[in-house]
Amino acid sequence: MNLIEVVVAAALFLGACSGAAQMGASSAQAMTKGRLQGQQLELIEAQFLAAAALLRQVEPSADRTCDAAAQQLHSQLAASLPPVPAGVVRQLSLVPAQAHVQLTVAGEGGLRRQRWYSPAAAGLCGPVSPWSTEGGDAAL
Amino acid sequence: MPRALPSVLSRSRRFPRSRHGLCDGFALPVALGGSLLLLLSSGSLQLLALHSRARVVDQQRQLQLEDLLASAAQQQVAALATQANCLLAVDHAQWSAVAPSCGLGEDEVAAMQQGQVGGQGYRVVAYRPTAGTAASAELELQLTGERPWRAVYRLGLAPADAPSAQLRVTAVQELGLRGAQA
Repeated sequence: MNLIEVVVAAALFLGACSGAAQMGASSAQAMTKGRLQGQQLELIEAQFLAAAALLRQVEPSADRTCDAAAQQLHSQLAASLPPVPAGVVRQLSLVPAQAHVQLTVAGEGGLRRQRWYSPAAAGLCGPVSPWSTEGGDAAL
Repeated sequence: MPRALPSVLSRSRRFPRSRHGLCDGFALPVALGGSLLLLLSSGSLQLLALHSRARVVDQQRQLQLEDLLASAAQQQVAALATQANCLLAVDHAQWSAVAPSCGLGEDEVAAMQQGQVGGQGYRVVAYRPTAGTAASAELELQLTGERPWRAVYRLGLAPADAPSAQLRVTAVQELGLRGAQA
């Protein structure tokens, strides 16, 4: 075993160790990020599940206009949705022109989901004259 | 002691330390094999991490498609319930035939069969009221963009309280995505 062989072998092994350590570190980082994003997706999903559960509980009122029902739905959702954990941002907005409530929940790393809730689809407001301007729900 | 030294020397002569024995050329293959093993194992770890990340991205994309279709369903059902109530009890294939009796024109019926939500277009693929009691109906929607995913929803229907309407929608229930079909 000569010195040159030992030096080359040691250099080769050290280089491989260094490369493997770097790859391992980046893999661990990516896996941690993926796990965190998976957890955030679950937290975001919890917000939408809570909104769906609330929609099933709200008492319908056929004589109410869709604008008034959308306002009521907005205030009930704002009061009843569970608090968002750190790193998750929730935005609940009322779109009066189309009489619906828009729920947007965003997390870190570009995670973002958005759903519309129309009170008319939950039976919270009644029918209007065909193609009248009230509510203007269609906006199709 | 002076007699012991020659015996050690003679033993070392019998088993000489070879400079070119079995150990020669051993370090380089061992280092090469070890390096390869290290790189392969860290490479497979990297693949695993990439796979789990791709799975999260896929899951997020599917949830966003579900959200788009669910929002479209809310919008479509709201439009049906409030502006074309008489179509709630009628199969999608017969909307055009029934519409004149409800005071709806061709344009209104055409508008009821498609829409746009969040910058994404969709169309009504099917609307099937339950035969008989009409206590429920199934609505099938399809996105019209690059990813034409479909989803089906069940509508709960009940007799309307208002005299101007036959039925009212009580709930919209998601029956799930049906994938992308032409």
